[in-house]
Amino acid sequence: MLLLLSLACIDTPPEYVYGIDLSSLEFELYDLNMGVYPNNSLGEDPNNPLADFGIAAEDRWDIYPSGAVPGFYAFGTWLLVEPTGENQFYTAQAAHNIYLTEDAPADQLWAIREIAIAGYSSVLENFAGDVTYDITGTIPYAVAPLAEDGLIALGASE
Amino acid sequence: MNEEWFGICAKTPPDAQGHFQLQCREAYYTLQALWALDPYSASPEQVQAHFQSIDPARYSPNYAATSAASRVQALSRVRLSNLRMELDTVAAGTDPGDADNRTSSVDHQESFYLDFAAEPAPGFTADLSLNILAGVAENQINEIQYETRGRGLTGTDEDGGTTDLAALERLDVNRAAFQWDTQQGNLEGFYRTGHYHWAAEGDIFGLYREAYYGPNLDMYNGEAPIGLEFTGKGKLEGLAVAAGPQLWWGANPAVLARYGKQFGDTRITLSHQEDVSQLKNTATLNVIPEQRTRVTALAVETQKGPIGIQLGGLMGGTPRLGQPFRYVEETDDTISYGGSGYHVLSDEIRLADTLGGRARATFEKGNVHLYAQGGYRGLVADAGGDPELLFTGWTLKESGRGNQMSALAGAVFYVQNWQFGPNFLRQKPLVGPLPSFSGSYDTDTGYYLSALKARNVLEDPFVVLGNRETTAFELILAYDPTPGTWMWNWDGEYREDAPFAFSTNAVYRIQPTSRDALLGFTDTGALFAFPSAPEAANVWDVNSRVWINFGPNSALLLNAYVGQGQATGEDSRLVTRYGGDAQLGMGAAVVRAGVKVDDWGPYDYHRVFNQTFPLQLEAHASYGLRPLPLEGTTTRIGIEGRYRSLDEFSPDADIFGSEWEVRSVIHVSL
Repeated sequence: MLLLLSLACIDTPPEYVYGIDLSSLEFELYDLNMGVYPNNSLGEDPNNPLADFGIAAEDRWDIYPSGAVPGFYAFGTWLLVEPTGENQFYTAQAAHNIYLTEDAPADQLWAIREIAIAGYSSVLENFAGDVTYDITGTIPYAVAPLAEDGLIALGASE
Repeated sequence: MNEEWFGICAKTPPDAQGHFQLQCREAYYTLQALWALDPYSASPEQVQAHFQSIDPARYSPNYAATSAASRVQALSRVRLSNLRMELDTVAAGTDPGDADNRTSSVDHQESFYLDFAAEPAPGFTADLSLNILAGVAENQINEIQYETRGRGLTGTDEDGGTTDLAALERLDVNRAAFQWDTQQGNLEGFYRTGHYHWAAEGDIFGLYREAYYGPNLDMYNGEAPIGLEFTGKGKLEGLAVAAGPQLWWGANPAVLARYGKQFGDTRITLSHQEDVSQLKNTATLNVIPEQRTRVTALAVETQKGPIGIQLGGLMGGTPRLGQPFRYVEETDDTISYGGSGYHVLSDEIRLADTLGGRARATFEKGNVHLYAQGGYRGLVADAGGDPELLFTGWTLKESGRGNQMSALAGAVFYVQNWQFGPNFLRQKPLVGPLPSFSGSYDTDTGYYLSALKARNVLEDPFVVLGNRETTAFELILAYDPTPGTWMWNWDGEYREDAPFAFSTNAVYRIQPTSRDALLGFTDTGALFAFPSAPEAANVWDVNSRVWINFGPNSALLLNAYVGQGQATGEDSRLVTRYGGDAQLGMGAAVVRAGVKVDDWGPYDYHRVFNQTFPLQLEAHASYGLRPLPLEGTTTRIGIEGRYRSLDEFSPDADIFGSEWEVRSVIHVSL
């Protein structure tokens, strides 16, 4: 018992939490299906600063416009909590934007394109009847046509 | 015995040891009678006369009787032990205060139970109870019942049409169990059949929970307990092993083992629990599966005259090593986390967080019984609670959850037939609950402050719930002139035989801090965690019970309560409630009545969402062939009534002003 306790005392001390710098967040491939329902790897991705303690529902809308990479991790993390067509679509769209802006390591651009395609396909396969809303939150839009447009823009076949 | 004997004796089927019994036929008794004459001392004429006097047909009843007895014994290996029928007609309605919008309806419900008992071999018994539904009343105001499973199930077929699926739930296995007594030990298997705990055998941390749930198991259609339990004998004395997919309601699939050995006045017990996977679903918010765990506990118990000492240590929750968690420190600094007044720290579960221990001392001499107890539990050193009754029916006990330090002390004094029992509890979590705080994203700096929300058992390695900071006082006052029927036993309500007995239990809890979050079901049945918890508040309860026995099978039982409590969800409204009930049994006649004022409804979600009713009334009157037993029912006919008024804190208050139900009850039971 004493040996166990003494071993426990060697551990590193706790750290103060000061906030997460999303502006310097860089995309790092962890799993080829990260951000694609029902894959849960984003919750274990050591590069995802939101993995341990999650994100609040409303915060993802604030983060999304700040950049494709933080938007991908924000919506992808929330997708783990609330798997809906809206969250899947915006996760896929963020991946799409990462590809378009080449905001990923050059040797991973092909992977982020595949993730975007898989995300859009997931909308069609798993959430075909779901909707998203306009900025007022009152006018619904079906996400399936938006996902189809995304696939076409990426040159992917259905 | 070979085939030449078969005309003289028949053989029964062999038993488990391969032994069979002989059944003597007419030929046996005929030969027996023939050989009564000594052929060497009789003349040929006497021999012939003796043979002519014997009629083999006269011995047919002997063989028929033994053969019939053997068939009855074979048939009794499987028998119908009980047949129960519950035939109810339900009239119910609502009154929103507007005569034009009153509603009423009449429906019916039939529920049948077939109970089978089997004994395929000596030492092996099995029981099976099946439930068959006919009608299910759709208008009952208590909408959740065992029979609810058969209510209006529909599905969508491949053509998009609606399919009636109600038939899928018409037949259900209500209970099943077997017991096998061998030389090495007893093996029991159970499905929705209760079992006892191991606390009396050295499992002082309550790893193996008791699994008796009364009517709640049927009400919520729970599927527990399910598993096997082996208790050793002889060379395996002291060993017990249990395994199953849900050994108690809400348990993860697990294997538990216990081994204890007595050394003079001292017993040493080693216990272990190993969760092998995670239980996914639950039927009620009262029972939520915890994260997988592994617990090993060692207990040393000794008794020296009037003094008892109990020491225990445990290591638990090791599968959660390395899991991250956050906690807060209050600060007066100008800079705090998002201006919340807290610093937020991040840490992870370490080895020391899995350790715990407990020490208890008791003193019993004459009319004085004393105890003192101290405990420490690391953050994830969870185990079961304390299921044992110590001296009296105290409700203040150590929570089985980790993340706490606790101290308890109590005393019971007997003065003739009076019992006076003060009790004290002080507990405090090592890491307090998390306050709720909205996150924020600074678009200028790109910094994100993630939100803080109360922990929950699904997502966090530990929580603050029953182990919340508490200073509590309890007082029991009781009068019992017949302590042989101990009023605190689980069946004391029905066994108490004193002409007059009563008990009063008052508890006051000082709770200066809040707790973490509990769980709820959405309207679609999805389990979710509340983001916050009710504010800190003190709560209290007073419960009283009175027994008056008039004579054999004639008694009056009175219960009364008053208290102030909190919801188990996140609503902070304190509920001050009171009520009581009375049950009068006069032979085969039973009359019951109950009232609740400003109290939660009968289901778990009522307390989760803090839904109360201004007035709830219940009444029952029935007459049967026999007095009502402790469990189950007898053949009886009667009538029941329920009434509830609704206010702004009640569900559906905007639709109904009050609701009522009258039910005729016809129950048949062997």
